[in-house]
Amino acid sequence: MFSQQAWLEITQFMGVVDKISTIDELNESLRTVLGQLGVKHLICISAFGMPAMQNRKPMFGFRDTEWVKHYRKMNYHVDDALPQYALKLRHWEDPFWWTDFVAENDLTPLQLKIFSEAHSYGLKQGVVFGIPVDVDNNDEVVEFAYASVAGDIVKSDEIENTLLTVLLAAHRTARRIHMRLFLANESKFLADPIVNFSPNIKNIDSLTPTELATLKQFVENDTYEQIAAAMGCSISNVKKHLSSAQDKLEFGSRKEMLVSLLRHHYLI
Amino acid sequence: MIHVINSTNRHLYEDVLEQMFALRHKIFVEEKGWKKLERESGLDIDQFDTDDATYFLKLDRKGTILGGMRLVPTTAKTQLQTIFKDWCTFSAAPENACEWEWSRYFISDKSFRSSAGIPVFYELFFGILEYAVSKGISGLSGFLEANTLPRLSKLPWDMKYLGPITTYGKTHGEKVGKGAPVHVTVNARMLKVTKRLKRMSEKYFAIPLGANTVVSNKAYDPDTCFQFLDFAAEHPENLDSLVKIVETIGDAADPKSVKYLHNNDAINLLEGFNQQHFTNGPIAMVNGPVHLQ
Repeated sequence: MFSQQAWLEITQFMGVVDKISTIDELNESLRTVLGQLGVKHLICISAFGMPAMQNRKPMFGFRDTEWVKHYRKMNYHVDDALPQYALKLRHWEDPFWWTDFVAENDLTPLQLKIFSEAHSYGLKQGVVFGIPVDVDNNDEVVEFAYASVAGDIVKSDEIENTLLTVLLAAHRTARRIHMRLFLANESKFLADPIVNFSPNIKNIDSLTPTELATLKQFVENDTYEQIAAAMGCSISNVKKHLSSAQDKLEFGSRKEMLVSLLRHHYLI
Repeated sequence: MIHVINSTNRHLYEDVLEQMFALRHKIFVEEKGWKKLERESGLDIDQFDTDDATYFLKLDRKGTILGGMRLVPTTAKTQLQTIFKDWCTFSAAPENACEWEWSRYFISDKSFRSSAGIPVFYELFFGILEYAVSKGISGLSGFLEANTLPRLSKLPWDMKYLGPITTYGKTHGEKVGKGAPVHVTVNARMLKVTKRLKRMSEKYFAIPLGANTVVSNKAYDPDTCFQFLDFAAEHPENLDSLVKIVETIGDAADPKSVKYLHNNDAINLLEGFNQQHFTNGPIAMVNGPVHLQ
């Protein structure tokens, strides 16, 4: 059982997680909450597309820990067995714990060394969760994330479930923040691959704010009249903005533009 | 079309409901291994299957059930308020007239698609959302399996966890599973946006035709509902008006709205919608009485 303080922190975090508006703020909150459970390392990576051409981006996590610095310095990402394994996950609902992973897989000496060094940095046990965000009609996962958590923790159902709850909520918030930053032209950090995964959407940062706002209404509404009413302008203005956006984004038709924008839940 | 069955029309669906309870027993007890629900009768009927419950069922023309779900108002006893109460540790399960709870979602054949190529679970899902929006329900809560939770990240919904992910089962020889109690806010925009994201262009998925008793004092059996569906398919121009009428007389919460309708017109309309005599043009319904052109 966790301490009462830990439960209090978790409950509080789950109450406000939807209102968190920056990644830094999210990381700080997670540090406090998960710190109560003994977590010292956290990284959540997002991946898009087919395995062979995956675009991986960190979404949130603790970036400035001693372990991460060391990991980077030693270029461990090249050999580390965990991310390679996480990308091939098939049974998403089953997280895998480090000790089980080491016992069940044939690891190279260097891969084993990474685990033993992690242990000396205080990461005695760890667990990796798969988060399949988008599954297409053939049950192929096209967008997913995985979160790796480690620290002074002991494998149990309770901690596994609690960590997963906190991480799913954090992932949802992080995804929303990254999309918003992208739309505000403030960051291409994460949303870029979401958008560029669909080959048709490019030059989106060349849109004017009005064009972008019109596009948003275009995605949500059925008729020009509805868009005009929502924008508070005339129908001919709506058409003008849409034509201009269509030219800039290099779409052949309105329908093509709509399908592409909808495909990735873009702008909604 | 999704059939909406509640206390007002369940006498017309006795066979179907019996079939549903048996099917639920097969799916939840025999396939999923929820041994606590096991009954000698082979029917899964629990303490929430009362007159308060509303069932959403996808039926084919022969009356075979393809999928279904149960909604219970939170003013009656719900799962999250009683048996799953201890799991709602972040915030208590809602308890007011605008909040309903879903449970017992099942699909009997995953491969089934409607003629428009829409999977059954989408039809069910949007049918329930439509029903909720039209009835002024502002929130739905329920217990979700853990593997569906990540997919909610991509939907622009206002959702929150009522409690942490919990492992259930283990006792009574049940299989182990995971899930969490979740609350989702429902409104017209949410429905519209979700429909667009899932490319659902169909206008109506569930029309609570069976639940009309306030005015006509008569509910409609499954066959009549299918006739309605045929009529709607042949005369899409009349669909809006018909749904408006169905909703108006079905809306027991607001009897005032009924007085704008000539009762006999509405009854005739519903009784005779499969007949051709008023199908020459759209049915006009402007500020009140129904005019059949």
